[in-house]
Amino acid sequence: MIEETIVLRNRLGLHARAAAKLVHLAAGFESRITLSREGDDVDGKSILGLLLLAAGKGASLVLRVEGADEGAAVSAIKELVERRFDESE
Amino acid sequence: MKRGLSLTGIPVSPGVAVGRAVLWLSREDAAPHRTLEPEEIPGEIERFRRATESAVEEIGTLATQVSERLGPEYAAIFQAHAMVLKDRAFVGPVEKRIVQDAVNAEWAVTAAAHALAAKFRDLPDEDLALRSADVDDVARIVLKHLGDEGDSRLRMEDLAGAAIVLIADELTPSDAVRIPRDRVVGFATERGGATSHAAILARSFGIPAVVGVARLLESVGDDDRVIVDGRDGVVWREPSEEIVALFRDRREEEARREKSLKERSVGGVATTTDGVEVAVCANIELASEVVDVVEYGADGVGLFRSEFLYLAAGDLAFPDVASQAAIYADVLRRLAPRPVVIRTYDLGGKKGARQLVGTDEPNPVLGLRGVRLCLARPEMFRTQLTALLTAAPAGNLRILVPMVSGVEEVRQVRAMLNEARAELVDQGVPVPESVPLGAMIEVPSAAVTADLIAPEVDFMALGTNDLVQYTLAVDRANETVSHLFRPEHPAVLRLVARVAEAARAARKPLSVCGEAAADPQLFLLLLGLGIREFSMGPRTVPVIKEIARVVSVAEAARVARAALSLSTPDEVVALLALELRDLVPAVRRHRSPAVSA
Repeated sequence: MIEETIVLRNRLGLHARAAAKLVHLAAGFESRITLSREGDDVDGKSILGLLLLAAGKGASLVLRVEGADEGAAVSAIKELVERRFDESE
Repeated sequence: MKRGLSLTGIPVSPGVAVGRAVLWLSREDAAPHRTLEPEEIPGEIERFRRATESAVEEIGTLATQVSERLGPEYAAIFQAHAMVLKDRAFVGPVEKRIVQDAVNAEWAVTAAAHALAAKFRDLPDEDLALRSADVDDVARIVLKHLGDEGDSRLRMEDLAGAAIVLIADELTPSDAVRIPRDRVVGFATERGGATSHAAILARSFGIPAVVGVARLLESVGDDDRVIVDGRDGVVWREPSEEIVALFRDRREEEARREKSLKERSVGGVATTTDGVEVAVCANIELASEVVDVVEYGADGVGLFRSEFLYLAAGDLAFPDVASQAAIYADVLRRLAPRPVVIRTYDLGGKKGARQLVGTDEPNPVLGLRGVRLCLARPEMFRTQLTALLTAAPAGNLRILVPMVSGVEEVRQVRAMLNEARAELVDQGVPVPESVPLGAMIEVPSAAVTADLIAPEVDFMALGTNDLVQYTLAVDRANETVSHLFRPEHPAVLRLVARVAEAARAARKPLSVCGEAAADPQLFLLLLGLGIREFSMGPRTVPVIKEIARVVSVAEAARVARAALSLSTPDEVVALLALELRDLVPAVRRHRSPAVSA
């Protein structure tokens, strides 16, 4: 299992479009993916779960990945967040 | 087979109804609700899954088109929608409802979407979340792919079968007025309050009703056996045989009691122990209730709410002189020589007449309604006045004008009435020399200046429902403040006393025709304040007559004087309860639910 903290840097944080991109990415991996914020754990492949985290800019999330492709999954997700979800602003 | 359960609400019309539930959905956004047989459930799950699949496909196509035309960023929101449809967090609750509640997919989807929208509304930052518009979109596309189950919205007239109990989210006045009384034995609604028009109509139809029943629509399905207990405010779904037997016994006992009360009522005018005659008349909405006026021994009609003629017609066409005159004449003839007070159209406010008023008023209760609306629509008003005059020779007619706020309106109406009369005379139509014209005192300004109004009218009628509403600034249809609607408030009592004094000084008759007249305790109070004529739903006439026969005006006046010295509605209620404790048991048993605010 890999555990890492990621911080949202994009202006709108984990809003609908960003969440959709994250779910799209996560769905491609076999591993179980969980994101937590202030004690709330959600499934990284559930858009509703991610949206209900209400994580804005600057929010710190704990990413936990477990499975055969956990390494690849963690890298990909971290990169997406660091690229600010490819958003223009 | 089905589990029995009971739900509570506000009782608004007494009696017991035993029948089969028919769901009545009148709101635009209500999805059809169907209860499934156990064997239908797997098929329904399958149907839901296929609908979401094709919905996802449609969204995908849409997303591609948008992406090509506007760029991938814009398509992202559709991708989010599609993901919601594949998300266990959405699909799971829907399937759970289908299985556990045995409901159709449309209902399950709508309910799940509402719950989801609520969760998102609770989030602090709107930018982050899906908004309720997105949730609606998602739900809507699934519903579209579930296919049209047909228009489940029935018309009242089409209800088939017997012993129907209507189960609805709410019943508008136009719904309620069209209830087929030969088929419907009672109703229950999830919303609504004790003084809503549906409640008033239920009482006047004599059908048991309970409103404000939380979770009603999700708990009762089409065809469930139900009992509506209009006395205690309980709805029973699939009651056991023991419970059914209990209610059957109660119904028989109530029928026996009612029969003997009726016999005494029909016997003659009620006279107090100190020899004062008290007129107890009936409030009616529909010409078909004339039968009840006679059956329950009312001394006349104290209020014929004529707007229901318009609402029952259902469309925008305003009834013409001939059709109105025919109805009025019929009522007058069948009740002659008893007096019949016909109130001119009291439309606007909440009574479905947005098309008449022309705009959506932010405050319809304070807006263009009653006599104001009539004076603003002179042809419509003229038509009614002409019809009334034409019908007048058939019986003992009195014309009452609603929502009067000052003498000017009275003068304007009298002028229009005289014009209408002059025209009929010119045409050679037989009309009486004069028809008594009265003002409804329900706006505080009219109550306060009753001494100015009394000389200009032939009689006055106190509309306690609206008087309480306006004086206390409480919207009687608003459930959040219904507990503040108190007819026993010192302000109301003082106004009534003032109006009674003005009537006495000008030697003009005064009646009370709001729901307060039917409440035994308030009746005593009003009698003590000087009122000698009361009008109420026909079914409550016998009880009030009974009470009038066992009290004295002297005693009532003493109680009223004491009440006027108190400071709060609760004190007044306590005083009344104390004073009436030793009076006939009928008083305690028949406390009207309408005014237990």
